[in-house]
Formats: sequence, structure tokens, C-alpha cells
Amino acid sequence: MIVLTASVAAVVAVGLVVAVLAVRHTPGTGTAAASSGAAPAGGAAAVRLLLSARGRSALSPELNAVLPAGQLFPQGTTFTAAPGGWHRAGAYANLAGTLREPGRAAHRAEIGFVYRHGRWLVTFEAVA
Amino acid sequence: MNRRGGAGRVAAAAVALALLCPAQAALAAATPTPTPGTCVTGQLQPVPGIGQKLAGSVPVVFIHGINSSAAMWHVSSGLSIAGQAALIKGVTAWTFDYAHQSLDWVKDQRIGPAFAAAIACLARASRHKVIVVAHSMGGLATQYAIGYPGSPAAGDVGELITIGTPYQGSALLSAMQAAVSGSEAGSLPSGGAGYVALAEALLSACAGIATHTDSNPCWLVSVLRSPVGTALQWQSPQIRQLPPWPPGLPVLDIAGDVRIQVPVGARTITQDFGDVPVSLGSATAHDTAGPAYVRHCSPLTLLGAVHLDPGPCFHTHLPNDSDVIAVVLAAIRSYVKAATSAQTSPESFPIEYPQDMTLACIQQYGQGAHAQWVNTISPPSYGAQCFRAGSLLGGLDLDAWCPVEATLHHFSSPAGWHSDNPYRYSLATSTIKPWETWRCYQN
Repeated sequence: MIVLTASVAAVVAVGLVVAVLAVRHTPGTGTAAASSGAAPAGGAAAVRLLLSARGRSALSPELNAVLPAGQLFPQGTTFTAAPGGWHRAGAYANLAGTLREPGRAAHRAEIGFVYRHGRWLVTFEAVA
Repeated sequence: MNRRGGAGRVAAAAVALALLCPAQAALAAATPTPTPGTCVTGQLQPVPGIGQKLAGSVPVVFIHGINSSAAMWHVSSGLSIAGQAALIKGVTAWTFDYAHQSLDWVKDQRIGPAFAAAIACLARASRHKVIVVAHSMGGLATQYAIGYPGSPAAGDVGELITIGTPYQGSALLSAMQAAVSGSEAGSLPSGGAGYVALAEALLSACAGIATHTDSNPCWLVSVLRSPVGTALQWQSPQIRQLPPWPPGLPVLDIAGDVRIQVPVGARTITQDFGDVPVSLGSATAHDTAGPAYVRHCSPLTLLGAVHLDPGPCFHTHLPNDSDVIAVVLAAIRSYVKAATSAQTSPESFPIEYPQDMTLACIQQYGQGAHAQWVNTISPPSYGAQCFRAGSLLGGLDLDAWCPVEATLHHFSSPAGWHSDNPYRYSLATSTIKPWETWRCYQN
């Protein structure tokens, strides 16, 4: 299980975890691949970026263009990926887990991704 | 997606022959080949109704859309759109099936041309023009069937009712095609950027969903690589090259209208996506029979649409929505009334049922009404006793009407009813609304 947070300390810790994950899951660009399991390093990195103050730079350009302006998540938000919560089909994937925002009850959430130009970009984040 | 096998077709054909020509039922059982003149083929099947002859009736043909089959019309259910149409006096209801070609474009010999042959046969045998009720691409298949050069069905369709037909193509399909191919989406309708964002979100959310059934938007993923996945793109050349509609053909468009929310944290895109695959503008682009009927629904979240229930406005759910069914049935009745000079009803009529009966149901429409009595002393179920109403409204025979279990669960207040004893009710015809259906009253 990985825990992703906007705090520096957590980022370092998560970086260690996702470095291990990266050995097992390297995103490809094939269109027919389908898999599930733990999030790859690139996916985890995208989640970290999404929860940071620069969260909008984690979004796909198409989504960023139409999503209303403003910060996406309050500082201190964390996302804990569920075991086996990563599902991928070709260049698209989603990750299930638990989102915790400061001052609010934790809730199950799902994050969508598209793999483009060597990195995973976020296509949605929603209450599951 | 339900696709009927060969054995099923033989059985269905035998049932069809029994309905149309009871004397030949035994022959049909022994000889699976349909007899000439019935119009029944492996693709064209009658919906079990009240046993009317094709000759003199108004044929109503239901044609499905992409990645589907005639099973989508649920003909065995008395609550389905086709099941109810088959019970309209003066109507014979039919389904046309092209399940095995439903990922091919409408020019396929077993789609457009085969449908043209079916329409022409029904029109010839009934001596009436045919009403077509089309879902999705079925509307475009009809456009091709009645308009291609040399079509045997030219002039044989009296009215077309389309449900979610992409007259201008599907913007979402185009956006999804562009997303998976990494290309630009090209020209899209108003709100095109929202379609691109939704396409990517949908493709992401559908990852890991193994069964792409037509009960949620993920089924679109399964058609991307098919011929219709290209042909049904927004303003595609294939659509633009379809033959022109016959002048004066009444076409009633029915469309879904739902807003979908694609959120990220505290921000959300909310955009109107029609019935999701087909935008409102595309589904109502060819309406010549008055205002289109638009079924409006509450907004959906992306994950709600994918993992839960996309609701009655969703493309594949529209034909099963009770409001849509009521509109279609009203349009059929109106056409049939005009075509057959329907009988007029009295100002009011008595409704009586035996003392051991505890429930009465009335089906109202236009200028007429049907009544039935249900014995609820024993547990209600499909096939519960149905009692002949005798002769109402100038001799409408209700003998073949049987209750459907679901009607027993749709009680409503007996507004407009008048009763002078527990077993007698009457309803003034002035209270009959054009497409009001079952109204039941428990004693």
C-alpha cells in the first residue's frame, strides 16, 4: 500500500516506495495492454503532483483547458492507493484508493490517467 | 448484447407462423422454412400480439442499433415498447434483427437492403404504409433502406420514430477515436473540448472493466475498431453520403438529455452530453413531425454512469424508459387512428367486474380504453387470471388481453373515476389523456 501526500517528508517516503514499484511496472505505450495491480511509479508521481500546489500541471491538457480555474486540493491532502487498485487498458488507467483532505472525512476515490509522451496524466478524480 | 442463435430463429419463426396462420402451425413445426407471403424471415419476426392478421393492419417495425439485437425490444414483456405496441388494435408489431452485422455500416446487404425488403413485404401484405421505430443507428439504416437507388421500400414508410439516432454522428465517438489514436479530434459540435475531456475520462474509468455490456458507457470502447466506429463519427462522410430523406415523411425524434460531471478535487466540468453517445443536437437534427421529445434527466457523475446506473436518459436505456414508451405508443396510436378511422368512444362507459375480483385496470388511449380484471385473491403473478371484459367501445375484444405482473405494482389514485358501487366504475372520456397507460384501482 502506498500513501501519497503533499508534504515533503511524505513525498520522500513515497518516492522510496514507488521506486520499488517502478521496477515491476514500467508504463508502455501499447494500446492493447491490459493489466491490474499496484500503481507504477509514473502513476504515483502523477498523484503526488496532482495533490500538490501545482496540481493542475498533473492534468491532461484537454482536461486542464475546460476545468474551472482554481486549486484542486487543499494542502495536506493524501491519497492511499488500494492494493491492486491500479487498472490499465492500453494508454488509459485508473487507480482506486482513499482520499483524505484535512478537516474532512476520508472517502474512497478513483483517479483516471492517460499515458502520453512518457508520463501519466490525470483525466479525472472522483468519489468512488 | 444479446445475439439470437440459429435454433432460436427457427423456434421464433414457428411461433410467428402460428400467430399469423394458426392452421399452418403444425406444418411450421415440421418445416422450419417460413411460407411465402408471411414476410417472416430470420431477420423479420412478429411480436406476439392479439392475433391480428397482417392484412389490413398497420405494421410497426422495431429496428435496433449498433452492437445490439432485436432482443433489446424485450418483446415477451407486456411492459416493453414492442410488447405494448403489439396490443394496439389495428397494429401488427415486428422486429428486424441484424445482430451479426450490427457493427457494420448500414449499406451492408443484411442491414439496409434487407430492411428495405422487409418493409416492402409488410406494406404489400398489409396494404398500409409501415411505421418504423428505430433505435440509434436503426434510424440511419431506415434512411438508407427507403432511399437508396432502386429500393423496393421507397414510399412504403408512413412514419418514422427515432430514439437516439445520431443524424449527425457521435461527437463522443469522434473524441474517443481521436484520443486512442493520439490525433486531433477535428471539428466537433459546440462544447467539443468537453467531449474530448469526457472521452479521456471515460476511457480511463473503463480500464479494468472486463465486460463491455451496453448497460454503461464503456460499451463504446468495444465499437471503436469496428466499421461503425468510424462511420458513426461526428459528421462522417458515411453519414453525409446517405440518401436524402423522402420529402414529407413524418419523422419524430426522441432524445435523451443528461449532464455529466467530470470532477477533479474541488473543480468539476459539467456539460450536457445528450444521451451520452449521441448529443441532443444530433438526435434531433431531423425532426419533421413537430417538436422532438426530449427526455431530461438529473446530472450524472462520471463514475456513477460507469459503475452504477447511467439512468433512463442513457442511450441504450432510452427505449425502455416509460416516458419514451408512452410517447412512441401515442404516436403509433395517432397514426393508426388516422390510417384506419378509429371508432369513436361513448362519453362514458361502465366497468364492472365479478365480486371475487379485487383489482381493475384500465388502459386508456386517445379516444378509447381497454379494461381488464385481475384476481388478486391468489398471489398476483404473470398469467394471473384475466377476465373478458365483454364488448366495450364498439366491440373491442379484450379476450386476448392478459395482465402483466408489473401493472399490479403501478397503482395510482383513481382521479377522475366515478363509482356508485364497489364493483362498478366509470371514467369520462374527457379525462383520457393521449398517452396515459395503465391505471389500476383496488377495491
